Amino acid sequence: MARADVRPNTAEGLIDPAALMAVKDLELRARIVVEGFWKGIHRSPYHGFSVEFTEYRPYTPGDDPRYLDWRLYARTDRYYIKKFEDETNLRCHLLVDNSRSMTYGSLAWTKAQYAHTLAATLSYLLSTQGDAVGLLTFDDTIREYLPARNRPGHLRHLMLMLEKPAAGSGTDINAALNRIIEVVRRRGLVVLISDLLTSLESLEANLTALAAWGHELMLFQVLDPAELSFSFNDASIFEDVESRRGLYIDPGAARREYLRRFEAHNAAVQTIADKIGASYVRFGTDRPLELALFDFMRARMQRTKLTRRTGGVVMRRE
Amino acid sequence: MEFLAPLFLAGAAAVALPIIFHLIRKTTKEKTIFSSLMFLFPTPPKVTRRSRLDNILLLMLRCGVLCLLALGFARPYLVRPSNGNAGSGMGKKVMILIDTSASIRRDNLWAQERERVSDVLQRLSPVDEAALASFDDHSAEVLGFDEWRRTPVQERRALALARLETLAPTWRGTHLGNALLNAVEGLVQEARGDGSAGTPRPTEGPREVVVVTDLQQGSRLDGLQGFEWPKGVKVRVEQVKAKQPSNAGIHLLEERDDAGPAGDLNRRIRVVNSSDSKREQFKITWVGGTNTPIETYVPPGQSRILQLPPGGLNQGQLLLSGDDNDFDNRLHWVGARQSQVSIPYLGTETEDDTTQPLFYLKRAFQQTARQDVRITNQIATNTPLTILSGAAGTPRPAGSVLVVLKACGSAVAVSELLNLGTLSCEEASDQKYSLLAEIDFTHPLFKPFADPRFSDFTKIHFWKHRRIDAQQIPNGRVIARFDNGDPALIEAPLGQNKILILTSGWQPADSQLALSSKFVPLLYSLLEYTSNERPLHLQFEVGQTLPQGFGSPREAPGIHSAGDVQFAVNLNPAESKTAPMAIDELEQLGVPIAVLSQARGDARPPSAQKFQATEAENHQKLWRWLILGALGFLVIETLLAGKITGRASATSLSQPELR
Repeated sequence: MARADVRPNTAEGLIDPAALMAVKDLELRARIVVEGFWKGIHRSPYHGFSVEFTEYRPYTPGDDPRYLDWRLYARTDRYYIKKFEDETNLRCHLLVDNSRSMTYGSLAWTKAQYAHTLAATLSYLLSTQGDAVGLLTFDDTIREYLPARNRPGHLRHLMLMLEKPAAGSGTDINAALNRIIEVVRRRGLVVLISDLLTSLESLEANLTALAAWGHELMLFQVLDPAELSFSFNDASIFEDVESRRGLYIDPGAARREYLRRFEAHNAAVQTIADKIGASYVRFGTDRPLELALFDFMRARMQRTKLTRRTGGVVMRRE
Repeated sequence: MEFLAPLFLAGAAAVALPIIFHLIRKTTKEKTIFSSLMFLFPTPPKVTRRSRLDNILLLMLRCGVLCLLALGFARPYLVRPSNGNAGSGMGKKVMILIDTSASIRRDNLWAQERERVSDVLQRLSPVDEAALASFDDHSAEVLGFDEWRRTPVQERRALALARLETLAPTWRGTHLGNALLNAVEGLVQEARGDGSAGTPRPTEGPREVVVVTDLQQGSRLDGLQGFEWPKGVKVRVEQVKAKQPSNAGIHLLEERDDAGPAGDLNRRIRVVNSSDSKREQFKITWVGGTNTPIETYVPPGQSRILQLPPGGLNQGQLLLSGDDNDFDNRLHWVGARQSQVSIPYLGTETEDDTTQPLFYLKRAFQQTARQDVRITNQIATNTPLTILSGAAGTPRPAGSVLVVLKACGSAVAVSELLNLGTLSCEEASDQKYSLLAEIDFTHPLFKPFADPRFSDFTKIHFWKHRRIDAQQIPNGRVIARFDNGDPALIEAPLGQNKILILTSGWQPADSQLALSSKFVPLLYSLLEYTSNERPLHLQFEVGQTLPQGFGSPREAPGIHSAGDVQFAVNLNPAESKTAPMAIDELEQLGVPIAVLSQARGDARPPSAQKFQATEAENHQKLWRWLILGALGFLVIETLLAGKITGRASATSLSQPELR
């Protein structure tokens, strides 16, 4: 079999992905990544109860009358809305692509294994902080759904779900996004982990709908180094893992066109992400997972700053 | 080269397989799994020099193996060059035999035959030589090879056709065997160059006898058995067939002498139905008679014997109706005439005395259809035979005389008849009995007994006989002697007639002769011998040699006359067997059949073609060589492929894969 000439990127001081992937247990893998990592407190986008008071602002018609400070009204005879900044629990939903295209891997591990490790790492990180983590796996339909919770045993349950092998013949991200829109009514973090090697036709609409619900969106695109560089040499029949369709491809002749179309696809994803204000990070499976966590944190911090700057404050009902 | 199973040649199309494998080897061998083809388009396979043809020799070997196998399975055979001489530059000699027997009168067979002959002549090339002969029960040359050669090339066919026009079917039987042998003899003589001087030298080439015939079952084939056919002579049968095969024939059976005076029993006919006949019911009637016809049922291939229908006629014509072909439907019949013969017995015995010869003599001659023999005691003038038993002083009879020496006294009569002085005679009683030992079976009297089945006279004991000296009788000839050397029967001329002296009697006191089975035949033999006349036979076949006085053989059936005698001439009964004979019968007799031509043109029957092809293929067995060749190719291919693979793996080992 023609294999892509790919060498894993290893950085000084970081865990070699090959060594990490050699660990069989997914939970242990996640713990290894998280341990020693910065346990930062991140700001919740959700403003809820028993949180720190921030400010008052005059009531304007259209504000929810529930958040009026009646005591102040009694004192001043003016309507004020009381605002809080709440450090509440984050509700994070991980949308993991479990389609057969994720089973491809030119390294010793597949994209699916890498994506599962990433999902497990995030779950572990979040649950150790007391955040609720939910999971939804999908291929051409919804496979598994675990609502976001933070209770003993939930993380274990989640890990077991992630360990299920990939199946399905296609990738339908839209189905997963629609389901999340239907099920998750409270705002939270939605992390989509996929290779995004699918049609982008209605992706934008669904992501926009999700963002409109107030969800914070993060797109983690997991790609194999071979897909990134298309570094094959010998001409052969290339067979699609999902559809089993075969095409005779001479890589030397097809590489330039492949890369052009591939980059165009990724650029389209980037455009969608920018449009709806989602974070979009692309991973090669040869990249150390800590870096992914850094990306995650950085995106979260930027988001928090942005929220603060734009006055991400809600009224508190008393 | 032709093929017995040409369908197998389609297997040669498998030659395309190695070529296709060779060409697509590079494009289908490796498979690469990839996550998604959404950014990929198929690249047209590059036909590089490598992927086009790597090992042309290997490819050719594999193709060769397949081709040889396909050829082998198709079972090829070479068509023998002797079958056709076109383009060989050497003319063939063709003897065309035309069947003109009576059976050709059926249907339109004669027209068919003429067409066939015309076709055969048409197919001859200018270098070929032909001769024509007709045959029925004998062959006759119509056009010889010499005459053919003398005739200008462009006029030869016309000449042959003109000669053909002079022929017509005869009424005779068919003797195919003789015709074939004569034809072969003619061909062999031609090959020896026995042609008359001054004619061009006969060409050397294949020789062929073309027989245009209906090949009926009634054809006689005797003579072919055991005949050694010269090499290079082939017989081709151009068979003509009647559209309406039903044929029945009517024939007279041999008359029976023991049937009494011209009784109905000896008027018997046989109705024969040919085996390919479609009809079974026939009617037989007298032509011009008023009696109701006899109806008879004869299944195909069988015959039935019937009494002649009552008509009271002594001669006439019987007509059979109910079949399709009438050439053999008429039977001409002339009843036998009874001749009256009286034999004087000159003796002193009474008729009822069982101890005397006369008693036995009277009972020996019975009345038959042809003869009525009467024993009288009066001397007749026109009798062929007179029997004397002792009495002397009788006047000399008109015809021949048989003297029975029942006592020595009868010797006087002999000496009187022969004008001898005395004839010594004594009773021979030196032994208990005597037997006939030396019999001259070449003598007409004993000729009927010459066959070893009938020649045993030792059962007849002669108790007494008289010893006379044969030397005393002028020109006396001893026809039979007793075992002691005494003459038993002496013959001597008596004027224009003969005198026969039997030295014993046939009555029981002298011998057992009267009681033996030889007695009656011997008396009839004696009567025939002395009268020089056989009972008249009045039924003959067309072409049959007739007795003296009847003239030359008659060529047409009918009632003919010779002087005041009328006789019937009919067809050969075998001619009624008109069902076609199987060609295998000729082959079994060793006739080298070339091709059986049944339809017009050169279309051979498929079975004969296939048989010949199978024979040729079995004989040549070319497929063995082809399979052997294929095996040889495979061995070379294996060695070559092994060498190439070894070289390739050695190269790949020396260059480890970089990954």
